[in-house]
Amino acid sequence: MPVSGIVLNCVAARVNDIALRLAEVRCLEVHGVLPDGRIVAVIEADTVDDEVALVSEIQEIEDVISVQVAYHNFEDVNA
Amino acid sequence: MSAEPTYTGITRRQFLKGGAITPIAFMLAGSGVATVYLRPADAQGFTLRPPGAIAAKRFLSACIRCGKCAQACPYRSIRMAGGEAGIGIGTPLITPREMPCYLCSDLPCIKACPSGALDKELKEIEKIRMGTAVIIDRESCLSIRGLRCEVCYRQCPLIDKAITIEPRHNTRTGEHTIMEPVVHKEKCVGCGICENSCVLPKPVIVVQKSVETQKDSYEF
Amino acid sequence: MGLTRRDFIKASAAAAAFAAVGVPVVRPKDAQAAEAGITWGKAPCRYCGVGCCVLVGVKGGKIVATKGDPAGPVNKGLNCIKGYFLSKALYGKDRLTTPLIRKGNKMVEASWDEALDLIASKYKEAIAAHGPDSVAMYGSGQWTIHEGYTASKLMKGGIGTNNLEPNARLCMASAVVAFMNTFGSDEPMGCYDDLDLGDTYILWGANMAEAHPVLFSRLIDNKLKHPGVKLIDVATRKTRTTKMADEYIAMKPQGDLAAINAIIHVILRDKLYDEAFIKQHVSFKRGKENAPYGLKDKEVFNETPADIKNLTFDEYKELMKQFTPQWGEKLSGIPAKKIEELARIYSDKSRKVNSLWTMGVNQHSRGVWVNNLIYNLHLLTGKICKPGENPLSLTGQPSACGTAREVGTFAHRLPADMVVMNEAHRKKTAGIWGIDPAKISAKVGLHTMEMFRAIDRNELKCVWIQCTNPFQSLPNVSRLRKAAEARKAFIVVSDIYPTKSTEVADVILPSASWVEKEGVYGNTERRTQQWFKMIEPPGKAKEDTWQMIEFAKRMGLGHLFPYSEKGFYKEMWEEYRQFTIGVGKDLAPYEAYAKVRGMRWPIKPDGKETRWRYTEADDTNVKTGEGIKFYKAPGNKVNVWFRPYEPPAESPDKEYPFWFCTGRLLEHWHTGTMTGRVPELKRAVSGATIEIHPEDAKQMGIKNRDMVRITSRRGSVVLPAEINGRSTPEKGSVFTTFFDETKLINELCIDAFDPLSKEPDFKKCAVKVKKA
Repeated sequence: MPVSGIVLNCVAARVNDIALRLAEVRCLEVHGVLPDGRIVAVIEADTVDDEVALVSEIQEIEDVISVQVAYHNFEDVNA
Repeated sequence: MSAEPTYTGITRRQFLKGGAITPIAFMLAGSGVATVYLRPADAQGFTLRPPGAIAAKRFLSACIRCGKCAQACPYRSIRMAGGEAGIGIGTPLITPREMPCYLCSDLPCIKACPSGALDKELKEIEKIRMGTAVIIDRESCLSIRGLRCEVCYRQCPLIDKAITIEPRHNTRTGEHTIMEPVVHKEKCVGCGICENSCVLPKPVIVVQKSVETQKDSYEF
Repeated sequence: MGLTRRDFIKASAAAAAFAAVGVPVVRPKDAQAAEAGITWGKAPCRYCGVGCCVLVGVKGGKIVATKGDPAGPVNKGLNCIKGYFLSKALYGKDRLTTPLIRKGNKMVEASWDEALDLIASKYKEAIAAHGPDSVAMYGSGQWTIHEGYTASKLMKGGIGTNNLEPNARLCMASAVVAFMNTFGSDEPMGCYDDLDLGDTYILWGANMAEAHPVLFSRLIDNKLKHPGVKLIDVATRKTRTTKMADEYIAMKPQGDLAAINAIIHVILRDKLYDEAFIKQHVSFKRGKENAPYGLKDKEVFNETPADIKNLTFDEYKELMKQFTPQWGEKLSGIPAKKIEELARIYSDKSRKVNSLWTMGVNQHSRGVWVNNLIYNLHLLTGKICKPGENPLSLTGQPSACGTAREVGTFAHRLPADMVVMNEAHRKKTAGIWGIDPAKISAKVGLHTMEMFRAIDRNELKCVWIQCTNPFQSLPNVSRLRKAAEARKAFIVVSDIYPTKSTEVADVILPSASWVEKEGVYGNTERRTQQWFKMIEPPGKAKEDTWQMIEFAKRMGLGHLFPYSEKGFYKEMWEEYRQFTIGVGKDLAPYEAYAKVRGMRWPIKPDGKETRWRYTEADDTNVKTGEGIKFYKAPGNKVNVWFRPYEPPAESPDKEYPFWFCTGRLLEHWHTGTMTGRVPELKRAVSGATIEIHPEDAKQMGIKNRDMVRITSRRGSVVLPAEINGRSTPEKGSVFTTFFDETKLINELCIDAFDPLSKEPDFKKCAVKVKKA
């Protein structure tokens, strides 16, 4: 199960709303919201393909400018 | 890597759409290993433009977003910005980590530009100033840590000019040399090949905005 | 209830994301805990012959980290970029994990029993019909000592054929022959300490900056510390080594033969030699000349004692009179004045002179001769066997020395400098192996080039390839590939990834690699390094020793390997070690190596290593008061050989006007089967380029990165041009690397080889260059 740390660049004025909306997305945890419009989050998915789909989906959210991946762990853990 | 443009049959609309959306998904799916990277230069509001791009503010008004430079680029280094660029939507940019500028000696991108946003007076590769490479994280740089990496140096198209190696004694081991890559901003064209080739997940050498060399009266 | 491991990883992910946005975060304690619990073990690096030590961090059965070993005397915690990503070479997506058997054009999964039964039946069939010399094994300088020893015992002691070769034939064979015919014992007298202690280093056609990265940084450090240290790069191409050298001397291909002879001429003419040293230690010899180039199949050229003429020093001096600096200039392109200067440097009594070389000298149709000539320089001036003053032949593989050379996995060799042609050697070997001496054939087996040509001639029925990729790396490889594709022989390939060689295999066996098994390697400076198994190989992959021994059992040869399961490595080591005791090649008991970061043989009676051989200062085989004693050479006298100039096998002409040279670069290794699977290295250098001199490029209208077609009489390949990049060949020559799996560069290379060492010349043939 891959785990990734991602950074979202959002329109600054809308960043809190977006963070709230993201918090509802399954497999995603919001870890930090920065005043300049960036959100730090962690996503986990079942497969890398699911992960790519999830990132694409987040990208579609209005006022999300870009999604970038900062950390990617894909080792097998069942703990 | 093929030098042939392979996308000639695609309409501009498809091209723009593809160019804007695929990279991130591609990066994820394509590399699949360890850490995928976040470009620090982006975070600092600097956009790497094609060779010959005129000053940032004028560029946005001069560029007619026609995409001809991108079509002329044999390496597909130039892509057209998507919505993330805000007012810059549809303007050409280069993301070195995906594909840097390989400095074609005949500068086809400039030749293709109908608007003057890319300066037609620019004919020599050495005079290009897209940006300047900077080692932003010296503590992580493998070469500075004494490892024999120096990939950025050996891949630099202006090797020994834009990047040189400054050897110094490695005090930790006592018997090896630290071969430190040093960027010379007066020679660096900002092509991003160093940034592209850096082996670390988050490149420690990145292209940033060129800063004009300050003139003063001090003489050596 | 504490946090789960998954939570740790998530904390790490968040921390990394925060770090990426530039927000300083204190790493949560839990995230740090995720990296704890790692077990560290020591191992030598898997790549080149330098022999850097690495620490391997294992957690949950997987390598999670590697780092340079600070306790490693070679590298003190450093690595090159290949070594930095070492563990990733094991985790490519397409690791071979199950035996595969060819069914028509398909490779079908099979069990080990099916695969091994099939191999055994094919070998038995061939031996029954055509005798033991119709089968062969082709191994590697990356084999561990145990693997090489198993192969030697199996083939030479069991099956009864000397058709056993290592890929080291392609890299070190010329050095070996010269060590043997000069000193009577393989491998150098000096060691890496000479790089710290000398003050003059002359590189003969070696790009040490890229091919021996960590060692080069050690050499440069000597220069930084001591401004008087001089580094002279004699080469056919300006490289990153040139950049750091004090002087670059451009030389024509094959020019080394002429240049060194002319330097010797000056040393003799001006009486710059060390007369006392010569009198005490040197005898002069003239060998067989007008040698062929091995281009014809089955061509035989041997330098037998009957062919060798003894010379007096005066006769030698007389013979050398013809090789004037002017003559040298004409053939080597090195100005006569420079030749005079080099003679003065080599004989300067106040200078500690070292010669360094590798493939430029060895992969040479007269490679043994050039090696001989370099030794002549050191023997005539007495600059040898002294700390900081030695010739040093650099190796390219992690155990070309330890396995291929010390164990002797060549067609003519037995362990510890012994040869199959010698009855006493066969007897000694048979004694240690516990077999009838008659079992070991006195007939020299097929050397590498002949082995693969014999497939084409339908003479070799079965060959088992382990740990190497000949169907990419051999010269004129298309002939050999066609023969294999025509299924002219039954080919078994043991490897860890699909390669150009598994493509033509009848059976593919998945192997364990590096720390997936226990092993011992021996590097350039006689350093023997041991490591333990740290992780399990993936899937059904098995060690090469296991594969060979299971095969041996099916061949009725299981009795050759009577080691217990638990004591396997130690027991085999102690058996092998008997060969080395008392012959100046002494190895230590197995446990001794487990504790240290390698030791350089011969191991002294007190268990300590030897840094310099043949000198009373360090080698316990030389008594106090004897000074230097070449105790392995007949009569304790080493040979200075008269070796004239002879032209290369193929030179540029009207139709093929360029020299073509191949080699290595820092980021990738050999045929790229490992480094090509490390995404970071692939990102750094994605493929081969063709280096062209800027003036040549301009004349042909070729710009940087233009696609260029390179054609020789044997093959053709298209590569992007690299002009004014990391290296620049001399005018009239082009250079490329052979790591690129997508390009069969070696199709272009001529299969000419040194008639004495049988090592092919990958550095010189003629090509034409055209914009594609």
